This record gives sequence, C-alpha cells and structure tokens, in this order.
Amino acid sequence: MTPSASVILWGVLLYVSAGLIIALAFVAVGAPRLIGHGAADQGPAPMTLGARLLLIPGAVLFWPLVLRRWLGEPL
Amino acid sequence: MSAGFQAVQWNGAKIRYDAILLGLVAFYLAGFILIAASLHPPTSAAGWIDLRIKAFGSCAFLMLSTVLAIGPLARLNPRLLPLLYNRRHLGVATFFIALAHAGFMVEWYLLESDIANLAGELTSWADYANFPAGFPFKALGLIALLTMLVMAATSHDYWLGFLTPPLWKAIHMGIYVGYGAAALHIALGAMQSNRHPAVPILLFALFGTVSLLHILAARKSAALDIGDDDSDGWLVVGAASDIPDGRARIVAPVGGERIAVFRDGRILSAVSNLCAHQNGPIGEGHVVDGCITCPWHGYEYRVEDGCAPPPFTEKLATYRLRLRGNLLEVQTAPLPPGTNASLTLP
Ligand code: HEM
Repeated sequence: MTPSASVILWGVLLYVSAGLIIALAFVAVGAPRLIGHGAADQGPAPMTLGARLLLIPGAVLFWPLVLRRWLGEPL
Repeated sequence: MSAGFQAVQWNGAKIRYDAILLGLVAFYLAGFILIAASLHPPTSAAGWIDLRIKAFGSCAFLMLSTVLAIGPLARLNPRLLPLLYNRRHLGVATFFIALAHAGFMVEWYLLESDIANLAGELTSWADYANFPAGFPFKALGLIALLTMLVMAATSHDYWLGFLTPPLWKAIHMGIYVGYGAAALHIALGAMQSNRHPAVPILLFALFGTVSLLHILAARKSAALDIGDDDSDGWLVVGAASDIPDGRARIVAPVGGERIAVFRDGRILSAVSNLCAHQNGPIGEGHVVDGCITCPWHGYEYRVEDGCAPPPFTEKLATYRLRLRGNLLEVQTAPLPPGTNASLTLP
C-alpha cells in the first residue's frame, strides 16, 4: 500500500471509531433529549428502538456536530 | 410527525410504493443478468462478478436519475405527486444498490489480486492527470457513493429536526454533486473500457433528461414568480371563486416567499407556501377534513390558523386577506405562525 493510502485509511478508521462510540452513547441517552417535540417546553421526544438504531449511521458521520449540540452549543 | 420518533412511519401507500419499487429493482437486475449471460456467457468466476457489477451499477444510476427527476416532474404535472410522496425510500434503496455495486468490485479484487492494489490505485496521484482514459474513475464512484451515504444516513426525520431544515436541505443538495460524480465515473470508466454503445446512450439519455426536466421546472416556477404590483403591501390573488374548492392558488410577492391561498368551502386562508417539515410546496396539496395536507409527506395544518392539529405542534406563517369587491387580496407581510387570519365568504 502506498504511504498516502495508509494515512487516509488510518484517518478514516480513527474518525469512524470515535464516531461509533459517540453514536452509541448518543442514541442510548442523548438523542431524545437533544430534540423536543418541536416546542421547547415539552420535554424529550419518545423514540422507539428501531428509530434509535437508524440514527447510528448519521451520528457516526456527523459526530462532531452531535457532540457540539450535546455540550450545549448551537450547531 | 413530531410526536415521537419511529424507525419508519409506514402506511398503506408507502408499503405499496416500496413493494412496487422492490419488484422493479428485482426485475431489472434479474433481466439484466439473464439477458447478458445468455448473450455472452461468462467463462470465469470473475466474469460473473463483472456482470453483477454492471447490473447493479447501471441500476443505481437509473434509480439516482429517477430520484432526481421526480421533483421537477411533480412540479410540471401534479398528477405525479404520489411519486414524490415516498421518494426518500427510493433514495435509500439507491444507496444500497450502489453499495452492492461497489461491494462486488471489492469481491472482484479479492478474487483476482491483492485488495491493497485497490487502495494503491486510488492514491496513485499521477494518474489523476490522465484524461479521459486512465483516470482513476473508481475515485469518482467513491465520491458518488459517499454523498449518497450522507443522504441516506440523515434521511430520518430526526435529522431534519436536529440539523434544522435549512442545513438539512443544504446537505441534501449535495446529491447533485454525487450525481455529477456518478456521471463522470461512467464517462471515464465504463465508457472508456466497455465499447458497448449502450453505455454512452444510457448515460446521455438519463443525464440529459434529468437536466432538461430541471430547466423546464425552473422556468415554470419563474413564470409563477412574476407577481402583480404589490407596492402597497397587498397582492391581488384573483376572484375568490376561481380558487378550486379544497385547493390553493400560489402567489409570489416581488422578492418574497410564495404564499398559498387556500379555499375550503367558504373559508379562505393564506399560509406560507413552505411546509414546516421539509419546505415542501404546501400550496400544491389540498384540504382534507379541514386540514391543509402537504403533498410531500402528508403533514397537516388547520385551514383557519395554519396550526398542526394536536398533538403536533408545527405552525405555518399566515397572511391577512381582504376582499375588494369580488377580488381577493393578500397582505405580503407574514403574521406570526399560527395566527388565525382566515376570511369567511358571505
Ligand atoms: C466506491 C464506489 C464505486 C466503485 C469502486 C465503482 C467501480 C466500478 C467499476 C470497477 C466499474 C466497471 C467499469 C468498467 O466496466 O470498466 C463500474 C461501472 C459502473 N458504475 Fe461504478 N463504482 C462505484 C460507485 C458507483 C455509483 C455510486 C454509481 C451510480 C450511482 C455507479 C455506476 C456505475 C455504472 C452505471 C457503471 C457501468 C456499468 C456498465 O458497464 O454497464 N458506480 N463501477
């Protein structure tokens, strides 16, 4: 493998690994709390297990955004 | 809608849509492989994989072209709106077909040679100067696949709420980058190596049709935008009786958001033409049981005040209406979302 290929592959691997850890925590506890019913005063939105599983790929891809929102900052 | 999240919000229409979609995909793939294999029977395991790469690759491009054609088609002819209704599932299915196409190619490398060659091929930077033959066209396919991955991974309604509709929409506009990359992937790959005339014909016919439909739909929207003089803050909609019962007339203030003026029997009301869900063209929908129903995903809002019925909480901006003789006029400045500004005809 060329050096640049292994640098890219390692980079992707690191990003995805970090993403997986954050995504799992996110769908387990954070996801319902980070989005209201559409109105801020209504508390967490109920989510089924299926919906949580479907959110994992998006959270792996966008984990920096997920983390930001979780830490209470705007997008 | 937003009272909680499920994996997929199924209903009869969506199940039918998906069943037809799956049937067509299976028919295409089986037909492609059967016909191609009877014309030129593959002589090796690699030959069979090659056939699957071609079947799934062309299927993915056909599906992606269809996904992109549906929007303008529905704008040009409202009878095609049912196609739009479940376009999201078509998009996600397209991603999986493209993923299988790329997966077969990995299988081919595993069979033929060292998989490390593949990574090496994509990072032989000097090759990117080769044009048109010899360009690493697989990298273009990878770009297309990654953009489709982003779309599919964020297709759940949750992400629409999380990312906010403007950002979500901006991300999903990336599909045009993906489509361009897929077209180049074919032009620099299959079109260079595979001398079969079907490849350029398929490519140009589909890419040309999608482009033409977008141009036609944009011209139709532009024609709508030539509003009447609204310098006094009021815009003429037309005779109230000219609005078909249960439907809307869409008007466009100069430089402002479009307004959909609905009539439900004797009740008239004006709401923003952008659905609070995905900015769908709500004015192309109709009134069902006193609720304006968005043609895209069936989000509902009461005619009188633009509020979604409980337990839902979405609201549309409304606009003040007035009658001058027989002529209906709408004020171009929006009211706060959910304000009741409806007008009842005598
Ligand atoms: C990682 C992503 C991808 C890789 C590695 C890849 C690889 C390939 C390869 C090796 C071929 C064979 C070229 C030849 O016959 O010389 C091919 C053909 C093709 N690919 Fe891809 N591809 C990818 C993604 C895509 C995507 C996303 C689409 C469409 C949306 C697509 C559409 C096609 C089409 C239409 C063909 C031509 C099939 C034919 O000859 O009939 N590919 N691709």
